[in-house]
Amino acid sequence: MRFQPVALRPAEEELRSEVRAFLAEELPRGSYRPGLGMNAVHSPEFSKKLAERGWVGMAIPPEYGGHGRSPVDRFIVAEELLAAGAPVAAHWTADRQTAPTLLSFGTEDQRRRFLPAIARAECFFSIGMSEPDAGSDLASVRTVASPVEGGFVLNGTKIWTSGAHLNDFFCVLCRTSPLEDDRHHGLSQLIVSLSAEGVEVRPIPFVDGSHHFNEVVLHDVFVPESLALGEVGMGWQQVTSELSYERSGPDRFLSTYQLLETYLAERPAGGALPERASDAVGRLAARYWTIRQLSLSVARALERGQAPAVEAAMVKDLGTTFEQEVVAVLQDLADHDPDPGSSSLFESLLAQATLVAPSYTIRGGTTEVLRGVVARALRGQR
Amino acid sequence: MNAELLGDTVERLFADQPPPGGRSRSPGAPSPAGPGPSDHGDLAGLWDTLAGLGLPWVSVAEEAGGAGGDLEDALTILFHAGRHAVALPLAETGVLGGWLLAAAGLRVPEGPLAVPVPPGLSSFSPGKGGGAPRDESGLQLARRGGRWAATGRMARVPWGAQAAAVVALAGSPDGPLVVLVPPDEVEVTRGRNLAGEPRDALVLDGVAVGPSGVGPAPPLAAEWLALRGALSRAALMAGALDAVSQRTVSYANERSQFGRPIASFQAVAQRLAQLAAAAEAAGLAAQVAARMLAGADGQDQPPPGVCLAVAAAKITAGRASREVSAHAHQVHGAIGMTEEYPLHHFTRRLWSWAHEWGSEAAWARWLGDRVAEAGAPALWPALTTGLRE
Repeated sequence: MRFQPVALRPAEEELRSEVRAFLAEELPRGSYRPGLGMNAVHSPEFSKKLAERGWVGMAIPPEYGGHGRSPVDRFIVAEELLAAGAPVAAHWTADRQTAPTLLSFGTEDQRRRFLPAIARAECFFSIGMSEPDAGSDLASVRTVASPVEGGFVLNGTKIWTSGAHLNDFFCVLCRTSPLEDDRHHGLSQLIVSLSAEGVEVRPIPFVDGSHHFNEVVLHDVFVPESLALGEVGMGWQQVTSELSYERSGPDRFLSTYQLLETYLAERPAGGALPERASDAVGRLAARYWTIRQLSLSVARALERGQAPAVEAAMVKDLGTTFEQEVVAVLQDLADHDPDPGSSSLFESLLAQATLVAPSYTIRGGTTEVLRGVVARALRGQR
Repeated sequence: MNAELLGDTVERLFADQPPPGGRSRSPGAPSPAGPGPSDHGDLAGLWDTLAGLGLPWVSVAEEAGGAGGDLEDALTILFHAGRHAVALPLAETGVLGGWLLAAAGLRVPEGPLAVPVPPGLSSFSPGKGGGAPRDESGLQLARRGGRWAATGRMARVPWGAQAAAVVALAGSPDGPLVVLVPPDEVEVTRGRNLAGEPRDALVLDGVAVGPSGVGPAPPLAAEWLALRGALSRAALMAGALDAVSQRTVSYANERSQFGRPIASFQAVAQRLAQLAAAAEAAGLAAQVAARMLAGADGQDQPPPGVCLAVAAAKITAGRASREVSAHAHQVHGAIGMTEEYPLHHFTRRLWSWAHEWGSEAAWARWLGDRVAEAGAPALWPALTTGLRE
């Protein structure tokens, strides 16, 4: 069996208590509308409060302004925040994705410039990967960076760029060398300011009317040499190598947890659940417990220096599918079409979740791609 | 004994058993060991080998005649037994019957034990003044002279007809007792579960039981037994799921159609990925729950976190059984639907064991009721209970 059980240490449980105390103080239940997951609510103010407590940039070493904490410490903070539906969207990408990439591949100058600001929740990033014609097939991106004196000139269009209208920079996957036989050669990542000249951010309204997605058109955008992330031409390796196994955290199974909690909270006090609901709630609780153990196991494996790519893909697949299952089960228990404007928090969250849930198994690697990763690993088995 | 070493030893032992006649063996994939459903469960052979090594009594205290070791060791053995569809009452002899006897101050006899599978989960209410056995075991003890007389019916007793003795909780004027019933004077009706494993009905009518066969039940005996029963099945199922997963992947990598292994077709590959993940989930859940229950041994009451873990492990194993069996049969095609090909030895056990010691639905209702009772803010803290250093 691939997954090992995890026993948490006293210091890790203490960290959990600190986060819970912080949330009780800053986000008492009923004082805010819970967000459905990591991307739901953008609050630089809340992110800064977390940063002040040392809970942003936890993985960044102290010499770059971070806290040198372990993957399990980060897991614990993340799961407490997400279970509470806390507004973490502003710093999430910078913290979970950009910072590790800068640490692994960035130049010393880039690390010194960006990492402390990320850890202070003063610098926020978006992801510039998908294009209208390049989604799952990322290697087919057509954004081109042509070398000029002192840097590059960037032309192309990125799409589904969450938070581009709010954030400071985005990491753009682009082609710096012409397409050859091996499509993975000649790709690079450039760090681009979202307010640079030639960058046009166009909103793409989301299915629930919210503004997360954008199309970002790049027209002759100058990017200095110093903002080429890592090695020019090594973009593909950088994008695929370490990040794949970072993607199995609590943000992949807790997006709809608040839906279950509010469902229970709005039951008449002391009222037992009808048998059908009891059965459904019990199954959901059991599934949360199990998927959490799987995700935690990956975190501990990362702490041990392993690279559990297959395990991470399994967890992300199980987790995101489950996030949708929670919505489906609670839809089934609800006895009418949920009203987004309802005074019942559960009902309005259910309405929102119903619209948004299909995205859970699409974003950050579709279910089909994840299962392909697992299947490829099984191919050698006799 | 070191856990990994124990697992490896047991795995080799089961793997070395010759498969019953006529069953095909795929190299590297686990095969069912021991007597199969066409026999009436002749317990000789493999049982004698295991008994010679003390394996059926791992986790039962040596002072009571057991082999020592802890609950986690015993559940590791069950995992590997499940991996080879071993048709023997290992759980009943060790973690269930052996445990009950030792806890009641009774000596564990030689030979396999039978412990009745309760018809449901209704006895499970730890900490709510439970412990008194309900009618599940259907056994009542009455005084007769200086001895006891046992009366009642027990349905679905694994290997009830061939066991050396039956161990059960019984009601009595003195409160709940553990009783060790000798096989003579028991009226037996042989039966089978879906996997063809013996599940016999036993009727007792004033069967005499001597003092060495009766002892006081430990506090909350029915509750602890329900947890152990559920976990014993979860461990067996986790093993069987691992075997099915491995066998199915091997099959898909070896079987070629249209000029290439069927595993190379996306539709099949996607199923293999789902099957593997489901088996892994059940495996980890059972392992964590085992370690947690082992850690709670000796406590007055099963802690709520442990009960949740066992419920989750049983529910996860149940769900995985359905999903994995469906994927495995689909990938195997027609050959997986034959009596000769070994797949059904595993899938039939999975379908059967999923209903024993609390079905998915029974444990889900129990868990859902506890969640509702505790209230919304208590759910997240409950879900974050787990193993602690």
